[in-house]
Amino acid sequence: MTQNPLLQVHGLGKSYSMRRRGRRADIRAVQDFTITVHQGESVGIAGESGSGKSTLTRMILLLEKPDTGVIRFAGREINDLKGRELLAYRREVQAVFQDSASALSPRMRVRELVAEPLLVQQPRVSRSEVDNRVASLLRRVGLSAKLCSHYPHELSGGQKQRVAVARSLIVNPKMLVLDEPVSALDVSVRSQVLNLLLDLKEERGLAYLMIAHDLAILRHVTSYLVVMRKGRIVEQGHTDKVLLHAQHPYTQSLVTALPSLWT
Amino acid sequence: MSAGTIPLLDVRGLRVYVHTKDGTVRAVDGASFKIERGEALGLVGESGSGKSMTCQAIMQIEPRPAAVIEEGEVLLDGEDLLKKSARDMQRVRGNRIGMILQDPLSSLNPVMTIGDQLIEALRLSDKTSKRSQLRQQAIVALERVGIAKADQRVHAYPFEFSGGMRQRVAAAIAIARYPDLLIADEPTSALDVTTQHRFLELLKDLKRERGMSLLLVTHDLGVVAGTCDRVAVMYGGRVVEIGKLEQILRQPRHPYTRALLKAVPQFHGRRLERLFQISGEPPNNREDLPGCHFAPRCSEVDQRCDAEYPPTVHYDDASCTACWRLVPEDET
Repeated sequence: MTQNPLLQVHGLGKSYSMRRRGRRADIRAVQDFTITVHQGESVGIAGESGSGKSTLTRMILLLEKPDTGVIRFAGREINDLKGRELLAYRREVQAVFQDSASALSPRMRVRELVAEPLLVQQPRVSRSEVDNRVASLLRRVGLSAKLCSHYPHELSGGQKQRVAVARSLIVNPKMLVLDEPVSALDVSVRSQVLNLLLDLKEERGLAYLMIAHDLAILRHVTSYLVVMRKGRIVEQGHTDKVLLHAQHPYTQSLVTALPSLWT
Repeated sequence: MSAGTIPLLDVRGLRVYVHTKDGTVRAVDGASFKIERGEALGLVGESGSGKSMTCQAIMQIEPRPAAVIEEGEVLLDGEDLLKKSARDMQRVRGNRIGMILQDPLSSLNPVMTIGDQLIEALRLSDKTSKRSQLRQQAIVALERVGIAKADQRVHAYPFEFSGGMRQRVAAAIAIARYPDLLIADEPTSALDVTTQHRFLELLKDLKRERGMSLLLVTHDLGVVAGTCDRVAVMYGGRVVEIGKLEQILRQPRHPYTRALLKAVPQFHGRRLERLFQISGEPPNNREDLPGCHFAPRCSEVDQRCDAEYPPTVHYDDASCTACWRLVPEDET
């Protein structure tokens, strides 16, 4: 692992105001969130529903504006990026979501789906270049080139998630934000996708920010872990240390509640 | 009752086919298993393995007209439910067999208070009691599933509850009439780990207190591990292995069960860099494969596996497998 910080988030906060029974109430989705992801590092974020994981991801992807705090990428503040620079950021940081079925347009074929981010980033790229890159990526994620002309509904869950991974990699990003990337997949297919993620990280020196509720999966894939509850970080540190020697009662309760095969 | 040796539920050779315009899907392709009184059986399988369709066929709520129960018997106390009239079957549902689904929002009525929904369920078998008495029973049922201030919460609507609480309400309705068997189809898949843990504890309590049998359907072996006495593993519409919980987890016999257990990321124990993976994709159950459905992904496959479906080998009353590798030589 190199020591270059890739993504630095400092004091990030976001609240939503809600009207309930006539009264206004502020929901603090994320409060004072600080984290650093280094080049080639894999950082996990654990927490239950309502812990603010999704709001956090959306802010890091610049899909949602934070109320407070600073996001730096490769040393530059990126909170207010616009136009060409925003496009460049989106090339460096790609996302894979839980439900690839809804992330993939049902009216596009696999070839177009995988090629789309590249065409957005480099509209003048040649057709043969696109074809080459799509073909080699599909091969890399373990999909047959025959699937190029298929639509998402013709694919299985595991295949769709692999298309989503291929699509995120075509612009050669430095970091992937993975929001519950395998929780919709079956056990026998889940390990295929997790192994693929581990291999790609190794080959390409990718950094991962992986959000998941499954602690066993986080233990396999990440080296640093942040536990969130109600928008705040309750515990963080090296994944093994946090999970095997949990200090905070909330982390301990997550570990105890984990269904285990061998107790 | 004199039904000493008859299991509470005995499913024999069940086949449920779904007829679509793209052809027939053999959702359940000859599934057999038994559940004893007071026993919790885990029905484990990946999506598309036919476990939900099996439960729906037991309750006869399979999505008609596309899904058709082609063959088999569903014996409850020795009586074939598939031969019952629609009217008699209505009395079995809720009274003898209760059911909880994955998403409680889809089984609860959003515009009725949960008290009214419980009263509606109770009224089906009790035409004489006053409404106030049924309301009292409804409150008791809610208290039984661990809902605090039940006397106030009966007036609340489903949207006012959290996911875990809604699932408790669904459980209260399912067990309101003290069924002998509770079918829970992925009851905790939509819940957070801590909520899941508490809900599974509740199911165990209900089973212990009432001697109720449980058919727990899940894709998560971890859920089964803390809750069930025996496990049936489904693959491609068939039950490939049944065994006691301990045996399934520690000495799985069928290659699919073994592969499935190895593929689960383990929290305890050694941390591996790469996970064990089963190559290939789950079957689509469209083609009429003559052989074992797991053969295309199996690492121990030989020529018999593709030619003919393996016979079921019984070890004792509680366990069996369907795999050519496990058929003794002299029987082949």
